[in-house]
Amino acid sequence: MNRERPSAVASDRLDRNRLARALIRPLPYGLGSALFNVLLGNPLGQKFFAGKLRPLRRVRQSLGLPALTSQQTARYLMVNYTIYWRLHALMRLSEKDFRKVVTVEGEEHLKRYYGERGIVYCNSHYGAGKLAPALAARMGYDLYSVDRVDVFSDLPKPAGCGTIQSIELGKKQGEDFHLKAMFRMKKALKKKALMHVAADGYRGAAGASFTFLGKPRQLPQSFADFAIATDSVVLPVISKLYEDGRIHLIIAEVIDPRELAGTDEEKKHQIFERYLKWLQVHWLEGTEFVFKNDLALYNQLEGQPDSASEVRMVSA
Amino acid sequence: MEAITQTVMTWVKDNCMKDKADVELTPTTSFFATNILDSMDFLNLVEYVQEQYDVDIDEDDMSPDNFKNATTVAELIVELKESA
Repeated sequence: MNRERPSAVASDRLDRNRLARALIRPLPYGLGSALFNVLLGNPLGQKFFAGKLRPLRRVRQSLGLPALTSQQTARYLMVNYTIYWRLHALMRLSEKDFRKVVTVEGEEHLKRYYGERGIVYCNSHYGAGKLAPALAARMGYDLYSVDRVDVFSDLPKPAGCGTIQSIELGKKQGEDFHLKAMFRMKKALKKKALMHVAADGYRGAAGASFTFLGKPRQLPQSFADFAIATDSVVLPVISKLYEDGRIHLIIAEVIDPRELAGTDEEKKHQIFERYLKWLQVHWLEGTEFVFKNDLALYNQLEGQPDSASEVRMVSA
Repeated sequence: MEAITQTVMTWVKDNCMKDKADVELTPTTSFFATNILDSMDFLNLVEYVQEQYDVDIDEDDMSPDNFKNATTVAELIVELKESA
Protein backbone atom coordinates (compact mmCIF):
# COMPACT_ATOMS: atom_id res chain seq x y z
CA MET A 1 0.00 0.00 0.00
CA ASN A 2 1.39 3.43 -0.94
CA ARG A 3 1.45 5.92 1.89
CA GLU A 4 2.08 9.62 1.60
CA ARG A 5 4.70 11.30 3.81
CA PRO A 6 3.17 12.46 7.05
CA SER A 7 2.69 16.17 7.52
CA ALA A 8 4.87 18.04 10.03
CA VAL A 9 2.03 18.11 12.53
CA ALA A 10 1.27 14.40 12.16
CA SER A 11 4.93 13.19 12.16
CA ASP A 12 5.67 10.43 14.63
CA ARG A 13 7.82 11.56 17.56
CA LEU A 14 9.10 8.04 18.11
CA ASP A 15 11.15 8.40 14.92
CA ARG A 16 13.06 11.32 16.44
CA ASN A 17 15.63 11.38 19.21
CA ARG A 18 15.68 7.62 19.38
CA LEU A 19 19.14 7.52 20.90
CA ALA A 20 18.25 10.03 23.61
CA ARG A 21 15.20 8.00 24.56
CA ALA A 22 17.20 4.77 24.69
CA LEU A 23 19.72 6.42 27.02
CA ILE A 24 17.20 7.79 29.50
CA ARG A 25 14.86 4.82 29.41
CA PRO A 26 16.55 2.96 32.31
CA LEU A 27 16.15 5.99 34.61
CA PRO A 28 13.99 5.02 37.62
CA TYR A 29 10.78 7.03 37.89
CA GLY A 30 11.60 8.90 41.09
CA LEU A 31 15.10 9.88 40.02
CA GLY A 32 14.02 10.81 36.52
CA SER A 33 11.13 12.93 37.78
CA ALA A 34 13.40 14.80 40.16
CA LEU A 35 15.98 15.42 37.43
CA PHE A 36 13.37 16.67 34.97
CA ASN A 37 11.90 18.88 37.65
CA VAL A 38 15.31 20.47 38.22
CA LEU A 39 15.96 20.82 34.48
CA LEU A 40 12.55 22.04 33.41
CA GLY A 41 11.49 23.77 36.59
CA ASN A 42 14.23 26.36 36.76
CA PRO A 43 14.29 29.66 34.85
CA LEU A 44 17.40 28.76 32.79
CA GLY A 45 15.99 25.46 31.64
CA GLN A 46 12.70 27.10 30.81
CA LYS A 47 14.46 29.82 28.85
CA PHE A 48 16.02 27.09 26.69
CA PHE A 49 12.51 25.96 25.77
CA ALA A 50 11.10 29.47 25.37
CA GLY A 51 10.28 28.95 21.68
CA LYS A 52 8.29 25.82 22.46
CA LEU A 53 5.96 27.80 24.69
CA ARG A 54 4.58 29.93 21.89
CA PRO A 55 1.43 27.86 21.15
CA LEU A 56 0.56 27.84 24.84
CA ARG A 57 1.16 31.57 25.28
CA ARG A 58 -0.97 32.31 22.24
CA VAL A 59 -3.89 30.21 23.48
CA ARG A 60 -3.74 31.80 26.93
CA GLN A 61 -3.61 35.25 25.40
CA SER A 62 -6.60 34.59 23.18
CA LEU A 63 -8.56 33.30 26.17
CA GLY A 64 -7.63 36.26 28.33
CA LEU A 65 -5.68 34.12 30.81
CA PRO A 66 -2.81 35.56 32.86
CA ALA A 67 0.87 35.08 31.98
CA LEU A 68 2.39 31.67 32.58
CA THR A 69 3.91 30.92 35.97
CA SER A 70 7.10 28.92 36.31
CA GLN A 71 5.09 26.00 37.69
CA GLN A 72 2.75 26.01 34.70
CA THR A 73 5.70 26.19 32.34
CA ALA A 74 7.33 23.20 34.03
CA ARG A 75 4.11 21.20 33.75
CA TYR A 76 3.74 22.04 30.06
CA LEU A 77 7.28 20.91 29.35
CA MET A 78 6.80 17.71 31.37
CA VAL A 79 3.62 16.88 29.44
CA ASN A 80 5.18 17.46 26.06
CA TYR A 81 8.76 16.20 26.47
CA THR A 82 8.94 13.49 29.12
CA ILE A 83 6.07 11.16 28.33
CA TYR A 84 7.72 8.25 26.52
CA TRP A 85 10.31 7.82 29.25
CA ARG A 86 7.52 7.90 31.84
CA LEU A 87 5.61 5.16 30.02
CA HIS A 88 8.42 2.70 30.61
CA ALA A 89 9.48 3.95 34.03
CA LEU A 90 5.92 3.77 35.43
CA MET A 91 5.60 0.15 34.39
CA ARG A 92 8.75 -0.72 36.34
CA LEU A 93 7.44 0.78 39.60
CA SER A 94 6.44 -1.52 42.43
CA GLU A 95 2.73 -1.58 43.21
CA LYS A 96 3.34 0.44 46.37
CA ASP A 97 5.32 3.13 44.56
CA PHE A 98 2.85 3.17 41.67
CA ARG A 99 0.04 4.00 44.09
CA LYS A 100 2.13 6.80 45.58
CA VAL A 101 2.80 8.34 42.17
CA VAL A 102 -0.63 7.79 40.59
CA THR A 103 -3.84 8.81 42.31
CA VAL A 104 -7.21 8.01 40.80
CA GLU A 105 -10.49 9.80 41.15
CA GLY A 106 -13.68 8.14 39.87
CA GLU A 107 -12.47 4.57 39.43
CA GLU A 108 -15.86 3.41 40.67
CA HIS A 109 -17.35 4.54 37.32
CA LEU A 110 -14.96 2.26 35.46
CA LYS A 111 -15.46 -0.68 37.84
CA ARG A 112 -19.22 -0.42 37.55
CA TYR A 113 -19.26 -1.07 33.80
CA TYR A 114 -16.08 -3.09 33.24
CA GLY A 115 -17.03 -6.47 31.79
CA GLU A 116 -20.73 -5.57 31.89
CA ARG A 117 -20.92 -3.19 28.92
CA GLY A 118 -18.50 -2.05 26.27
CA ILE A 119 -16.68 1.06 27.45
CA VAL A 120 -15.36 3.79 25.16
CA TYR A 121 -12.61 5.06 27.44
CA CYS A 122 -12.60 8.55 26.11
CA ASN A 123 -9.19 10.12 26.62
CA SER A 124 -7.95 13.49 25.42
CA HIS A 125 -4.66 14.99 24.22
CA TYR A 126 -4.05 16.33 27.69
CA GLY A 127 -1.69 15.78 30.60
CA ALA A 128 -0.48 12.23 30.94
CA GLY A 129 -2.98 11.23 28.23
CA LYS A 130 -0.49 9.00 26.41
CA LEU A 131 -0.04 7.08 29.63
CA ALA A 132 -3.76 6.42 30.16
CA PRO A 133 -3.85 2.91 28.64
CA ALA A 134 -0.77 1.89 30.62
CA LEU A 135 -2.27 3.31 33.80
CA ALA A 136 -5.47 1.33 33.25
CA ALA A 137 -3.44 -1.84 32.64
CA ARG A 138 -1.42 -1.24 35.82
CA MET A 139 -4.71 -0.90 37.66
CA GLY A 140 -5.48 -4.43 36.47
CA TYR A 141 -7.76 -3.77 33.51
CA ASP A 142 -7.48 -5.48 30.12
CA LEU A 143 -8.09 -3.05 27.31
CA TYR A 144 -7.72 -2.16 23.67
CA SER A 145 -6.02 1.05 22.71
CA VAL A 146 -6.54 2.87 19.42
CA ASP A 147 -3.40 4.78 18.48
CA ARG A 148 -1.44 5.92 15.49
CA VAL A 149 1.32 3.48 16.35
CA ASP A 150 1.70 0.76 18.97
CA VAL A 151 3.82 2.03 21.86
CA PHE A 152 2.70 -0.54 24.40
CA SER A 153 3.82 -3.94 23.16
CA ASP A 154 7.41 -3.55 24.39
CA LEU A 155 6.49 -2.23 27.84
CA PRO A 156 7.46 -4.16 30.97
CA LYS A 157 4.55 -6.14 32.38
CA PRO A 158 4.56 -6.30 36.16
CA ALA A 159 2.54 -8.90 38.06
CA GLY A 160 -1.17 -8.18 38.08
CA CYS A 161 -0.96 -5.89 35.08
CA GLY A 162 -3.77 -6.07 32.54
CA THR A 163 -3.08 -6.52 28.83
CA ILE A 164 -3.14 -3.78 26.22
CA GLN A 165 -4.07 -4.79 22.69
CA SER A 166 -3.18 -2.07 20.23
CA ILE A 167 -5.36 -1.15 17.29
CA GLU A 168 -3.13 0.87 15.03
CA LEU A 169 -4.52 3.54 12.78
CA GLY A 170 -1.15 4.14 11.16
CA LYS A 171 0.82 7.29 10.49
CA LYS A 172 -1.33 8.11 7.50
CA GLN A 173 -4.84 6.92 6.89
CA GLY A 174 -5.18 4.52 4.03
CA GLU A 175 -8.82 3.61 3.67
CA ASP A 176 -8.33 -0.14 4.04
CA PHE A 177 -6.09 0.19 7.07
CA HIS A 178 -8.55 2.50 8.78
CA LEU A 179 -11.51 0.24 8.01
CA LYS A 180 -9.77 -2.79 9.47
CA ALA A 181 -9.03 -0.87 12.66
CA MET A 182 -12.63 0.27 12.96
CA PHE A 183 -13.85 -3.23 12.27
CA ARG A 184 -11.74 -4.53 15.17
CA MET A 185 -12.96 -1.74 17.43
CA LYS A 186 -16.61 -2.45 16.78
CA LYS A 187 -16.13 -6.18 17.23
CA ALA A 188 -14.30 -5.71 20.54
CA LEU A 189 -16.86 -3.26 21.93
CA LYS A 190 -19.67 -5.66 21.08
CA LYS A 191 -17.84 -8.15 23.26
CA LYS A 192 -17.89 -5.59 26.11
CA ALA A 193 -14.25 -4.58 25.85
CA LEU A 194 -12.65 -1.52 27.41
CA MET A 195 -11.57 0.57 24.41
CA HIS A 196 -9.22 3.50 24.86
CA VAL A 197 -9.51 6.26 22.27
CA ALA A 198 -8.40 9.87 22.09
CA ALA A 199 -11.70 11.52 21.29
CA ASP A 200 -10.58 15.08 20.71
CA GLY A 201 -8.45 14.42 17.64
CA TYR A 202 -8.52 16.37 14.42
CA ARG A 203 -8.21 13.32 12.14
CA GLY A 204 -10.95 11.04 10.93
CA ALA A 205 -14.27 11.59 9.23
CA ALA A 206 -15.70 14.77 10.68
CA GLY A 207 -18.89 14.74 12.68
CA ALA A 208 -20.92 17.80 13.41
CA SER A 209 -19.48 21.21 14.17
CA PHE A 210 -19.21 22.44 17.70
CA THR A 211 -17.94 25.51 19.42
CA PHE A 212 -14.83 24.71 21.38
CA LEU A 213 -13.54 27.51 23.59
CA GLY A 214 -15.22 30.07 21.40
CA LYS A 215 -14.08 28.68 18.05
CA PRO A 216 -15.94 26.41 15.63
CA ARG A 217 -14.35 23.01 15.16
CA GLN A 218 -15.28 19.52 14.08
CA LEU A 219 -14.90 16.35 16.10
CA PRO A 220 -14.35 12.91 14.59
CA GLN A 221 -17.67 11.18 14.88
CA SER A 222 -16.42 7.66 15.52
CA PHE A 223 -16.33 7.39 19.28
CA ALA A 224 -19.96 8.41 19.75
CA ASP A 225 -21.06 6.28 16.78
CA PHE A 226 -19.35 3.25 18.25
CA ALA A 227 -20.89 3.77 21.66
CA ILE A 228 -24.39 3.96 20.22
CA ALA A 229 -23.90 1.14 17.68
CA THR A 230 -22.50 -1.29 20.27
CA ASP A 231 -24.63 -0.26 23.29
CA SER A 232 -21.45 0.85 25.04
CA VAL A 233 -20.99 3.62 27.56
CA VAL A 234 -18.66 6.58 27.10
CA LEU A 235 -16.29 7.21 29.99
CA PRO A 236 -14.33 10.47 29.70
CA VAL A 237 -10.94 10.34 31.36
CA ILE A 238 -8.20 12.88 31.81
CA SER A 239 -4.89 12.82 33.64
CA LYS A 240 -2.86 15.65 35.05
CA LEU A 241 0.91 15.39 35.21
CA TYR A 242 2.56 17.52 37.86
CA GLU A 243 6.07 18.87 37.85
CA ASP A 244 7.19 16.45 40.57
CA GLY A 245 6.03 13.47 38.51
CA ARG A 246 2.74 12.82 40.30
CA ILE A 247 -0.13 11.85 38.07
CA HIS A 248 -3.77 12.38 38.94
CA LEU A 249 -6.21 10.38 36.84
CA ILE A 250 -9.77 11.72 36.72
CA ILE A 251 -12.48 9.41 35.45
CA ALA A 252 -15.72 11.27 34.90
CA GLU A 253 -19.25 9.98 35.27
CA VAL A 254 -20.35 7.81 32.44
CA ILE A 255 -22.34 9.05 29.44
CA ASP A 256 -24.79 6.26 28.71
CA PRO A 257 -26.61 6.34 25.35
CA ARG A 258 -29.43 4.34 26.94
CA GLU A 259 -30.20 7.31 29.16
CA LEU A 260 -30.25 9.83 26.33
CA ALA A 261 -33.43 10.76 24.48
CA GLY A 262 -33.96 11.12 20.76
CA THR A 263 -32.68 9.57 17.54
CA ASP A 264 -29.18 8.15 17.22
CA GLU A 265 -28.04 11.41 15.59
CA GLU A 266 -29.45 13.40 18.49
CA LYS A 267 -27.83 11.07 21.01
CA LYS A 268 -24.52 11.44 19.20
CA HIS A 269 -24.82 15.21 19.45
CA GLN A 270 -25.58 14.99 23.17
CA ILE A 271 -22.57 12.75 23.76
CA PHE A 272 -20.32 15.20 21.92
CA GLU A 273 -21.71 18.17 23.82
CA ARG A 274 -21.25 16.61 27.22
CA TYR A 275 -17.73 15.45 26.41
CA LEU A 276 -16.72 18.82 24.95
CA LYS A 277 -18.17 20.75 27.88
CA TRP A 278 -16.11 18.60 30.25
CA LEU A 279 -12.98 18.98 28.11
CA GLN A 280 -13.34 22.74 27.87
CA VAL A 281 -13.42 23.04 31.65
CA HIS A 282 -10.15 21.12 31.87
CA TRP A 283 -8.55 23.17 29.11
CA LEU A 284 -9.49 26.37 30.94
CA GLU A 285 -8.32 25.05 34.31
CA GLY A 286 -5.03 23.83 32.94
CA THR A 287 -3.95 24.95 29.47
CA GLU A 288 -0.43 23.92 30.52
CA PHE A 289 -1.56 20.29 30.43
CA VAL A 290 -2.64 20.39 26.78
CA PHE A 291 -0.43 18.77 24.13
CA LYS A 292 1.45 21.34 22.09
CA ASN A 293 0.17 20.05 18.73
CA ASP A 294 -3.41 20.43 19.92
CA LEU A 295 -2.75 23.96 21.11
CA ALA A 296 -1.26 24.75 17.70
CA LEU A 297 -4.27 23.24 15.94
CA TYR A 298 -6.63 25.24 18.14
CA ASN A 299 -4.69 28.40 17.28
CA GLN A 300 -5.20 27.64 13.58
CA LEU A 301 -8.98 27.45 13.93
CA GLU A 302 -10.90 30.38 12.51
CA GLY A 303 -12.58 32.81 14.82
CA GLN A 304 -11.80 34.82 17.86
CA PRO A 305 -12.68 33.24 21.19
CA ASP A 306 -14.39 35.09 23.98
CA SER A 307 -12.40 35.84 27.06
CA ALA A 308 -11.84 32.98 29.47
CA SER A 309 -14.46 34.21 31.91
CA GLU A 310 -17.15 34.24 29.23
CA VAL A 311 -16.07 30.84 27.97
CA ARG A 312 -16.18 29.59 31.55
CA MET A 313 -19.78 30.78 31.82
CA VAL A 314 -20.63 28.92 28.62
CA SER A 315 -19.02 25.81 30.02
CA ALA A 316 -20.96 26.00 33.30
CA MET B 1 -25.31 -12.68 -7.87
CA GLU B 2 -27.30 -9.98 -9.57
CA ALA B 3 -29.93 -10.26 -6.84
CA ILE B 4 -27.27 -9.76 -4.17
CA THR B 5 -25.85 -6.76 -6.02
CA GLN B 6 -29.32 -5.20 -6.17
CA THR B 7 -29.89 -5.84 -2.46
CA VAL B 8 -26.61 -4.12 -1.62
CA MET B 9 -27.51 -1.19 -3.85
CA THR B 10 -30.91 -0.87 -2.20
CA TRP B 11 -29.30 -0.82 1.25
CA VAL B 12 -26.82 1.86 0.15
CA LYS B 13 -29.60 3.99 -1.40
CA ASP B 14 -31.79 3.70 1.71
CA ASN B 15 -29.06 4.32 4.26
CA CYS B 16 -26.32 6.44 2.73
CA MET B 17 -27.67 8.56 -0.09
CA LYS B 18 -30.22 10.85 1.50
CA ASP B 19 -28.09 13.90 0.79
CA LYS B 20 -26.48 12.54 -2.39
CA ALA B 21 -29.36 12.71 -4.84
CA ASP B 22 -26.99 13.90 -7.58
CA VAL B 23 -25.00 10.63 -7.52
CA GLU B 24 -26.19 7.90 -9.85
CA LEU B 25 -25.69 4.54 -8.20
CA THR B 26 -24.90 1.63 -10.51
CA PRO B 27 -23.52 -1.84 -9.72
CA THR B 28 -20.01 -0.54 -10.40
CA THR B 29 -20.21 2.97 -8.94
CA SER B 30 -17.15 3.38 -6.75
CA PHE B 31 -18.06 3.93 -3.11
CA PHE B 32 -14.65 5.49 -2.47
CA ALA B 33 -14.54 7.84 -5.44
CA THR B 34 -18.04 9.16 -4.75
CA ASN B 35 -17.75 9.22 -0.92
CA ILE B 36 -21.21 7.69 -0.74
CA LEU B 37 -20.18 5.67 2.31
CA ASP B 38 -18.12 6.89 5.23
CA SER B 39 -16.24 4.55 7.55
CA MET B 40 -19.21 3.87 9.81
CA ASP B 41 -21.42 3.20 6.78
CA PHE B 42 -18.97 0.53 5.64
CA LEU B 43 -19.14 -1.14 9.03
CA ASN B 44 -22.92 -1.01 9.00
CA LEU B 45 -22.95 -2.50 5.50
CA VAL B 46 -20.74 -5.34 6.69
CA GLU B 47 -23.13 -6.03 9.55
CA TYR B 48 -26.11 -5.92 7.23
CA VAL B 49 -24.74 -8.40 4.69
CA GLN B 50 -23.53 -10.73 7.46
CA GLU B 51 -27.05 -10.91 8.86
CA GLN B 52 -28.81 -10.94 5.51
CA TYR B 53 -26.70 -13.70 3.97
CA ASP B 54 -25.51 -15.52 7.08
CA VAL B 55 -21.83 -15.10 6.22
CA ASP B 56 -18.90 -14.32 8.45
CA ILE B 57 -16.79 -11.37 7.26
CA ASP B 58 -13.52 -11.06 9.09
CA GLU B 59 -10.79 -8.47 9.29
CA ASP B 60 -8.88 -9.87 6.32
CA ASP B 61 -11.92 -9.38 4.08
CA MET B 62 -11.99 -5.64 4.87
CA SER B 63 -10.06 -4.48 1.83
CA PRO B 64 -10.77 -1.76 -0.77
CA ASP B 65 -10.99 -4.45 -3.47
CA ASN B 66 -13.87 -6.20 -1.72
CA PHE B 67 -15.80 -3.07 -0.89
CA LYS B 68 -15.22 -0.75 -3.81
CA ASN B 69 -18.73 -1.13 -5.30
CA ALA B 70 -21.93 -3.18 -5.01
CA THR B 71 -20.66 -5.81 -7.44
CA THR B 72 -17.47 -6.53 -5.51
CA VAL B 73 -19.44 -6.77 -2.26
CA ALA B 74 -21.75 -9.30 -3.93
CA GLU B 75 -18.74 -11.25 -5.22
CA LEU B 76 -17.34 -11.40 -1.69
CA ILE B 77 -20.64 -12.70 -0.33
CA VAL B 78 -20.83 -15.40 -3.01
CA GLU B 79 -17.25 -16.44 -2.34
CA LEU B 80 -17.88 -16.66 1.41
CA LYS B 81 -21.04 -18.68 0.95
CA GLU B 82 -19.30 -21.11 -1.38
CA SER B 83 -16.40 -21.62 1.00
CA ALA B 84 -18.63 -22.08 4.06
